Amino acid sequence: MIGVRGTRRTRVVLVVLLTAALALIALSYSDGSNPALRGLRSVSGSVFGGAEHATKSVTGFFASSGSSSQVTSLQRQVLQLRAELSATSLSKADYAELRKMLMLAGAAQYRIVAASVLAVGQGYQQTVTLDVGSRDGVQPDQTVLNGEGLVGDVTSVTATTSTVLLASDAAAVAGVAVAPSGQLGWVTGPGAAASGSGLMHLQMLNSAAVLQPGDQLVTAASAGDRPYVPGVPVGVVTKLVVTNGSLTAAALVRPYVDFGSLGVVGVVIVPPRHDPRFAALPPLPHPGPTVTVTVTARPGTPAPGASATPSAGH
Amino acid sequence: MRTAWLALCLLAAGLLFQLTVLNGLHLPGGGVPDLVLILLVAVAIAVGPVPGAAAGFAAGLSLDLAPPGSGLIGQYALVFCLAGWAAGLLAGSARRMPLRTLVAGAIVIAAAEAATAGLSLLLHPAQVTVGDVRQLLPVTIAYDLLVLPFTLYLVMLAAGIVGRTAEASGLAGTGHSALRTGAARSRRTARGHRPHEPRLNPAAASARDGWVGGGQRGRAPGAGQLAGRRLHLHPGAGVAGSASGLVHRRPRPAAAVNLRFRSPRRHDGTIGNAVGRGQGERWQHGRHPGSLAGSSARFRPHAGEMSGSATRQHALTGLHLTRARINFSAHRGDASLGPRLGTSWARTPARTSRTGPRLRTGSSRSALALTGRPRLPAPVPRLNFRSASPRVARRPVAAPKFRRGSRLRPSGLTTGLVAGGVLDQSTFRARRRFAGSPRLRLARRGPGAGMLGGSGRSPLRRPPARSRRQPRFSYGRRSLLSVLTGRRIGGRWLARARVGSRSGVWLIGRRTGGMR
Repeated sequence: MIGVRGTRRTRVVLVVLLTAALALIALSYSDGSNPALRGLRSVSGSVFGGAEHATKSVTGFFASSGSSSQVTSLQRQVLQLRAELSATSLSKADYAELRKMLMLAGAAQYRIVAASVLAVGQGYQQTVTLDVGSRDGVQPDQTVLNGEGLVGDVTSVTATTSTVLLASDAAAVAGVAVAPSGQLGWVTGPGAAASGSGLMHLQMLNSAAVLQPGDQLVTAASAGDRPYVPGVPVGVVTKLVVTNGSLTAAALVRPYVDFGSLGVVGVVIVPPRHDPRFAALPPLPHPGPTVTVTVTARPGTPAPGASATPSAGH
Repeated sequence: MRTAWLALCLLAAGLLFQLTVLNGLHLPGGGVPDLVLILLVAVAIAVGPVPGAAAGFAAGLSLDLAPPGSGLIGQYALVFCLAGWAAGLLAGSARRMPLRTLVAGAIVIAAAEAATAGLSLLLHPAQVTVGDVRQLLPVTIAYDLLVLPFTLYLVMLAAGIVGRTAEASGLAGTGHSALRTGAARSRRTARGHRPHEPRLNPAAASARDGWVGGGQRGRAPGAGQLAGRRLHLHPGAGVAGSASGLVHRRPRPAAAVNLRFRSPRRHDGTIGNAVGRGQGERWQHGRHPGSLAGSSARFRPHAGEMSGSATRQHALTGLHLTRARINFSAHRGDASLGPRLGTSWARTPARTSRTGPRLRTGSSRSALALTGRPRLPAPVPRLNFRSASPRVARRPVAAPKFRRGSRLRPSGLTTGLVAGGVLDQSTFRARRRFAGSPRLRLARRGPGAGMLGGSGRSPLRRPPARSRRQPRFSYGRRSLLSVLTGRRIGGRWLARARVGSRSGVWLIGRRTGGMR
């Protein structure tokens, strides 16, 4: 079966190529910031980024159905919110997403650059490519969000593209604050296998912290606002994890963002002057007078504190 | 060259489609098909191991470097290079055994996915967990296998179209239908052929061939120039003279190997006749292999995947270039074919009627092991290949013995011997043998061993040591790298392993239809 001709050449070529691959792996494993590798990455990033731009414009042409008037009114809104919009062709769904995102950015006083997802990473890594780059003011370690909440942070930037490590990646760790109390903790992503429906894992810092299902989480302030600016909604505590012998509370968190279907996202290029605290959180039903009224209108439902949590259908 | 461009375009398009569209899809189970890998396997099956490995390396490196990839550079290059090489090994069998190729490609894909998962598990322990792999790997492989048949079919179709157009441009006006293997080999094939030679057309274009090879009928380049007659010669059909332009009414089932003979000398010119005698009326006069004989007999294996050097089309071209020849010589006990085959030496007394003529190859040494064995019960002729010896002038013929010429000894001395018919020791031996009984000869002679029954050769014609020690199957150019790494990186082991899995005995029996 093996090719009769040139078996020796086959062997040589194979050995050379495998050696090259192994050398590249070793080189990038030992020193990721090697200038040669960085140059290779930037060149290939510009080449493939341009190709992805072109591909996305082609496929986006078929997919886009938004009217131009919507886009123009949207542009006006963008100007009002002092955000910069780099996406030019937007579909209807993108319009809704962008509107939500701008509301969030306006509430928390972020200055953002709107972007759309060009490409999604291959394999087990949770990365995406955005169509904005250093030309638009994007730098590494900036926060990426969308209308729902935290998406991730920028890891590398070329002139026209930027690569984002999603918060759902198992290697992504974000410091969070629990909404009512302001207690601190950190969440890690669920990893590749459960993208879209996976739950993040929350670990509190303070042993006295008390968690409840339904608590909302926002990002806590990082040093220099990198990689995460404060105040971005992260998720809702759904279930407490009780581990024997653990000093601090832990919980599973359902993220606000559906990482599997990212459309329009924004990169926070200027952090807010003041910590927005919980200003950007969505108005989830807290036990209040209005809720009580609705509950009493339906006698069959359980107590409001319990009904708030499973309403999201998990 | 065009196939290379086709592969490049396909892989680039597949990469972009994978990154921009496919990876963002929400499919049940969580995985997505790895289109780049599937395309790579299909392309490698179309182009062969070396271009397959190169394409795999390029595609994997692109996948490592393309913007969302933030992993280590080279991990996909490593895996895909191996996958491309492994899939390229299936290149020869794609058209003849589509199902087997498909299964083997599926195995390659599954192995590559597993290797990718294992490598990322190894290199990114913080991001990839065993649970991820356990959940995603089967789903991904399932999606891959779902997509693979269609992709393979389309790629083979595209490669066939591209290869055919390249052939048509390369062979315009010659009226020859070369082997359809793709553009990479078509030029070599065209160069190797000479006019007025019957040639083989693997009938990949007939309607009932496998789905991979299914092309349009009559689209063979050069078929239109044969006055509308379509050459549908089926590899392994086993009909004598199947390469002679005979129109078969119905396609024959695929079988292993066809051998064709042409008579080298006046008194040897019998096998072709004998072979063709069964269909004497329908035999095309001008295309008879015997009447096409030049000065040398040719033995052409073709189209057989199973039989080693006869398998691949480039092996055929290699044989063209090297002018393998079949020499006939005496064999004890080979006389059964004498009356059947011979016309000019038909009165040679038949001692036994059990064994057939032998072709032996000297380099593979298989004749040594076979000579001492009890003879085969059936009248199955054997072909043993041996390194060619120059023809001895006026050697009497007892029974045909087929030898294949070897390019391994292109010495001027040997050619002189062939051309001039220098009388040497072997000539005397030959005469003595004529007086006595035919003797067995061994293909391999050690320095002191001589032949069984006396060496018929002068030491002048002893092949160089290397060619005797190591069978080589590469007929093409030798690159610098191949010279450098000849026997060092397991070359001898590879060659021995390859030869060991293949018998040196070539049957011309009922299956191949050599003798009827």
